[in-house]
Amino acid sequence: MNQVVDFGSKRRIWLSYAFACLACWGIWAFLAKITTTEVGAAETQFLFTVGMVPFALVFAIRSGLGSLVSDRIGVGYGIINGLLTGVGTILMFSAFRNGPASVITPVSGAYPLVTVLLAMVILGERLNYIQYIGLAAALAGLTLIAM
Amino acid sequence: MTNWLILALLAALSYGFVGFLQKISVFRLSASALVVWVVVGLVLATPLFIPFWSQTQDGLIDIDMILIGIASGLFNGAGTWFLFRSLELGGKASITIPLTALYPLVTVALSIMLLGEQLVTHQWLGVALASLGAALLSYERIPESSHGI
Repeated sequence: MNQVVDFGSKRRIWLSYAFACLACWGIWAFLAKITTTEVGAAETQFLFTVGMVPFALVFAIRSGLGSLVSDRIGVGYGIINGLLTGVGTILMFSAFRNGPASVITPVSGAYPLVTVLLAMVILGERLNYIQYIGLAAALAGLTLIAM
Repeated sequence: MTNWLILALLAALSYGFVGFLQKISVFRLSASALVVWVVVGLVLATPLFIPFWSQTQDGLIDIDMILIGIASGLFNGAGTWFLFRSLELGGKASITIPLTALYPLVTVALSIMLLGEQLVTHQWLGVALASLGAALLSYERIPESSHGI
């Protein structure tokens, strides 16, 4: 296993895709803020879901039917994941109705805090020292925002 | 604490559970397959929110808002596709995932520049720390062979 980061052109390509992802997700929340301010959170949730469907089709074609249904428990987790994503998104959009996206997005984006705590409690995972620093930073950040 | 902040914290709680479920799903389904079922779940969740519709005065939604709303979903999907491409092209998850977790900073920049939102000093500091924290918390040493895309 090669642990050395490749500083050649291949690295720049995957890094550019990572930055494209960063930009797209940032624009996603910004556009949702605009829509939610003008129409309701539930309506925005619906439109957002409509926009997600074409990509689900792309991913379905990439996966192939066999891969899609290879594990029933995995399928169940995926659907529950989608339901929870819907709940999280409508909560975020409801927040957008009355609050600033520049604060709400970083707060909702701090969700890895919850994920790692669940992983610690349920899976018995241990944090590395970088994650401990992240935990402290996220908690401090959320506290400052709530002040 | 304001209502919108409570809603944002509850959103973080929901997304946190989503992240945890993704974590335990990763050895059961490929990432692409998982996205498909997540969108299926999203579609199934949508009828639950219909009772909260029609908050607009005349019940009609402007076509511009329809397009922007759909575009928000398209950008989210495109972001996911770019993330997978990055990992497929050899991007290390320990770098790519924390980097993409910084996406709220893009929203902050756009909201300040285009919507004229303003933050006070402690909010600036809070936003910076929360975003940094999310990125650092996303850092995991993941074996390169575990990208089930």
